[in-house]
Amino acid sequence: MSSDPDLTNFVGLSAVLTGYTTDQLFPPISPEPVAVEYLNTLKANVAATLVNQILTTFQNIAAQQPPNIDQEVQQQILDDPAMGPVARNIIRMWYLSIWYDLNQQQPITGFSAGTVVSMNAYTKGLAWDAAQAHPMGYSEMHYGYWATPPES
Amino acid sequence: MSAQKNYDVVIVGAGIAGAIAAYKLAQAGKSVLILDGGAEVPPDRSAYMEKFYLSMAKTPESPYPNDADDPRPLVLDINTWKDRPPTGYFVQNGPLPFASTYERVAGGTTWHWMGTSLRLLPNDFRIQSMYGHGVDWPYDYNELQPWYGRAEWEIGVAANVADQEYHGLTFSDPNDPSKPYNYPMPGILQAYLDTQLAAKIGNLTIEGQQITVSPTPQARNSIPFDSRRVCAGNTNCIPICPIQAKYDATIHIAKAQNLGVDVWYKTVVYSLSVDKTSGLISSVNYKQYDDPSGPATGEGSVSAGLYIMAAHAIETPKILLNSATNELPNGVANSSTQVGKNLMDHPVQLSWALMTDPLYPFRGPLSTSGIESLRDGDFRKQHAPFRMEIGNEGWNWANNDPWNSVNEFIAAGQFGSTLKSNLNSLFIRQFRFGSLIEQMPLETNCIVPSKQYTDNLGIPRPEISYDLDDYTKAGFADARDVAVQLFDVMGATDHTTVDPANSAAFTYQGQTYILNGAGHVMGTYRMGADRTQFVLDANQQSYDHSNLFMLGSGVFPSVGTANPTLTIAATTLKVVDYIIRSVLK
Amino acid sequence: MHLARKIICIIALCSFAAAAIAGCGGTQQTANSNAPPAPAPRLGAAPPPPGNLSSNLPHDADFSDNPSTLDQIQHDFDVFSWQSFVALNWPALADGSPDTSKIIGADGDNSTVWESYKESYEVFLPDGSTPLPWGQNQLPAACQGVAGSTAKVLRMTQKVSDEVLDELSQPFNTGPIVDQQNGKYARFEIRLNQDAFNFIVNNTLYNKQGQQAFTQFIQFPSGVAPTPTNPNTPVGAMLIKAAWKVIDPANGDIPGRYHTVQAYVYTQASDNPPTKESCQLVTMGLVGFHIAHKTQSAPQWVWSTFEQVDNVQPGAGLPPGAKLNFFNPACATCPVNVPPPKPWDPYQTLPPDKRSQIKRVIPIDDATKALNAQWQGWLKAVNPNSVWQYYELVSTQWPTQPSASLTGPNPTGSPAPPFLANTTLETYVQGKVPNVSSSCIMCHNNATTTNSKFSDFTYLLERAQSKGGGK
Repeated sequence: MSSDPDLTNFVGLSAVLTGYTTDQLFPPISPEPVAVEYLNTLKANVAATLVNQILTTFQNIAAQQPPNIDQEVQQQILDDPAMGPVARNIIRMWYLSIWYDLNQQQPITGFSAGTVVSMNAYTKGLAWDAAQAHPMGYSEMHYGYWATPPES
Repeated sequence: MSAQKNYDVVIVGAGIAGAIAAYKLAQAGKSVLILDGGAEVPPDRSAYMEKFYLSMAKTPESPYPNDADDPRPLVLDINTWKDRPPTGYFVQNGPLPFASTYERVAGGTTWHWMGTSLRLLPNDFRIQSMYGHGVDWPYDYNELQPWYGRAEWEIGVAANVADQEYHGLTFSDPNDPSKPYNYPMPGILQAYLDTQLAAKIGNLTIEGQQITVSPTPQARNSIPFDSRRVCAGNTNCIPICPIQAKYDATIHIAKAQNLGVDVWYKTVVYSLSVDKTSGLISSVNYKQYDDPSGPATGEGSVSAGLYIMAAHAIETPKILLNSATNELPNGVANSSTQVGKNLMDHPVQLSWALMTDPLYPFRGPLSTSGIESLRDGDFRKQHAPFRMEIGNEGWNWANNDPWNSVNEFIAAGQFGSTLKSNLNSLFIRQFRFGSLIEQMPLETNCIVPSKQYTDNLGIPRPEISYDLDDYTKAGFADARDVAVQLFDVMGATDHTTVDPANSAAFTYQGQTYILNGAGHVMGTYRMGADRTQFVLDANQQSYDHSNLFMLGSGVFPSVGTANPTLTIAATTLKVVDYIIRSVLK
Repeated sequence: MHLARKIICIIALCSFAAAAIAGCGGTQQTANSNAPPAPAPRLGAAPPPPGNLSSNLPHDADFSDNPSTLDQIQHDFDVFSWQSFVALNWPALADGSPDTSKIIGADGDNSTVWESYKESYEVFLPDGSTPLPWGQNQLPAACQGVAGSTAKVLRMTQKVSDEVLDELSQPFNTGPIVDQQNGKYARFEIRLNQDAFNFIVNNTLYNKQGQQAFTQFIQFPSGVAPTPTNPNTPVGAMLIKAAWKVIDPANGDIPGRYHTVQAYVYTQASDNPPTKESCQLVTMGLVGFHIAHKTQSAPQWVWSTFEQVDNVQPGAGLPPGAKLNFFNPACATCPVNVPPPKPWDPYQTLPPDKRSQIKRVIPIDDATKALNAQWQGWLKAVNPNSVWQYYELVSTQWPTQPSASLTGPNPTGSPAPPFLANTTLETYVQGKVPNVSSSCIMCHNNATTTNSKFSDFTYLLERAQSKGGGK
């Protein structure tokens, strides 16, 4: 894991928010870790105090090693009127590789305004993994793979 | 431009028709110039792919430049088609919006075609005589059959003949009808979901037709072909194949250029001139630009012995009508007054559903199979036929997924492993039918150069009037009914929604439907035996100007239910052969 | 996998047992297969080479420094690249094996080990027939007359006489590149080492029928690093792709900065563009060099790429005013990284304003530059006139997740660096756009046989023809 505590907390929080492991979100040896891009995007779009509040809150939750970390994150972060919308935007970012503008009509939909974080991010969107597929336009699989169900 | 050569042929448009024509003419030793309004073919597709990756809305046109000097319609324009001044390129008069789009870059709309390469059916060539609707072609399937074979080899189509011998389609060696025919490549493997759907449909007859899930002939590589890679299933034929496993017309532009064909890019043709004495076309008139959103940097004319219009079914009639003079008040090639009329599409009925078992969509080419069973039958006396394309991209077209559902679930408070597993359960069971309905020609469906609105170069924009007749609408309604029936048979849950406020909604017999475009722009300069009714003769030669030919889906008298590109290629090869043998000999 | 391993064992035994048994291909081409990993210099032989220069071809990267970060692993693979480059370009004996009595570049230039490898045209024959055994070369018919008339020249130059450059355009017809000095096209070739060749021959993958009949998942043999207890490990499959330019001192070329050969420049007949067949003997200089090596640590192969230092920027010691190979600094308006205008006629001499104007899109990183300086220094220490000092490593691509399933969703194993291009070999696809810009592993992941089976990261198997030459 990273020596940057912000990154460590961000990846830890992201794992709870997305349902993926920290190693999946931030592999130990990775040429283009998208977690770094996402943290940078978060910091570029959200006030530093709010980012700190989210990461610190998560750090405190994690330090206590609660039996149900999902429940703690929900109650302390997702249900918080200030932190909740940002946390949900973090989930959207991981799944769809998009940072949606927060100052627009809610709820955010597929047609809301936003920015694709990067080409690298697009190729690593989790929505495609959740579908046991690959990003449209970026497949690493071989001819005919579509004729049989995916490897589990 | 460089010093002008004496060209045998000038071709307007570097899409599939213009590129193949140029290549074949150059092979026969003719000197050829192509004029295209768009920028040159890029050395690689990275700029287009970058634009695609970073687009929020990954529409068919999202990878390509949207240049003010070379504008084209966008699919999202349809949301505001009634606005004045028009927000998009088209000026739409309704009553329904024309919902299809096309590209104006070199290579044309083959940059974002699906690759579906179906032949028209024998009865598609004679719907008036068989069923009392539409118009017959000036020739029959047998006359086009060898050219279909040659077209399939020219662009590279993957299919097995045994899968395609339905509704009277016959196949034989183009050069020796006594010999059997083989496609150049074996058929693309069907997606898992196709075989699941086929199994669940089982033995079913609708409107007298046995329902069969057929593998689709596709212009994409199932084996290495023509120095291009095998399809890797990037699931992105539209908007852009990242690895060019799918045919696009840049392949024939390159081949034509390697035979000495000249291509002038960023050269927008706006009219043709006619010699008053001979009545022959005397020049093609164009404007040129440097900066795609800047002013015209040049204006000129180019002449040749023969002229070929291959600018697709909106721009070609726009240019012909924009060429009106005192001597030719109806425009060029328009003694029939039919130029620009009978604009057609394959209106698409989308129905989407969830299967009980996993289907694993979003994997492989966007569509590998279809139900072709209802493309022909006695029912064509009552309503339009249709083919049902089986989408392999879940509810991507239908519901902008995965984006919409991910956002919907997150807005509902889902996160973590619950979110992940719920998304999985939803996405792996999604599928849809896109039924492409045969549209009947209507004189009132037309495109004219706008008198009010021009583009950045001062060239009139296309003004379009469009509607569906009741026979077509009845086919549309039937396609919806059949989809519901199939969902029922398969035990799938229908999730199709219809918003009456949708800008493309229409009603038929009390039901509301949403019109979608297939991207199949057809009609507008049709060929036929009667020069008072048609613009071109059966050789696609202008009745009015013997040195003017036209190519593309604009020549189709009626459109059947086959995606038009293969027929564009086949008719192009047929016409160019005629030109080489009989006109430029 | 098992089959592949077995084949390798048989070869190793053969080379031990007999020098030249037909079918086994004679002696192994590398020192490592039949000698301990680090042979002591023989008495009376050349003095030990400077630094880490060695004729020993590494079978895999050496991770004995226990790397734990991406940069450290990258370093180990970059060292592997340089070791491979030096061993492959080591002076060769007549049979192609390294001459351990000599040192690379001691004579300025030298014939090389890899130039005796099989060229792809010798393996995938027009009639799909069995290739000649290892060690026996085959010239295209058009070159055979040329050979007779110029035999003297070959002897005089002491250069390898079987170099046939039969490739014109870059992959997928992205276009040729044109030399700034003389307006001629660069030429390419692809060669296979004995392990790659044997795998293809033993499994009859050199024709379409053999590929149809081969039902297993294609896996070329992997290189395995020798250990004291297991010194006789396989080299693994290696594929070499080289780019060459015409060397003509009259046009400003400085031959002493290139590895040069008298090569048969073979142009195949073609309909598009219309091209006549020909074969000419021409002095060519090496400008680009790919090594793809399948190893135990990299089932996605290790991809090393080298360039001559003057390709697109002036290399060290280039005299002021001397031209670069593929870039003209004086032309501000020449379009950059754009192929020459069509028709792409290999016989034409393009005027200066139509010659290639190529820039490197992704710079060589600092750590690789430092490593280059070190190895170039060793090469220069052998002989200040060594041509080998004028080559540089661009980078090495390797899989960060080598254990990724080759039939799963991410068979490429997340390569590092994600993009890698040689300005002479992936000229027009440089950049950082996923699935389009040059990434060795990502692109070669799309490679198949003639019947569209995954071909283990090599496009060579697509070249197989039908047995008997029919369809």
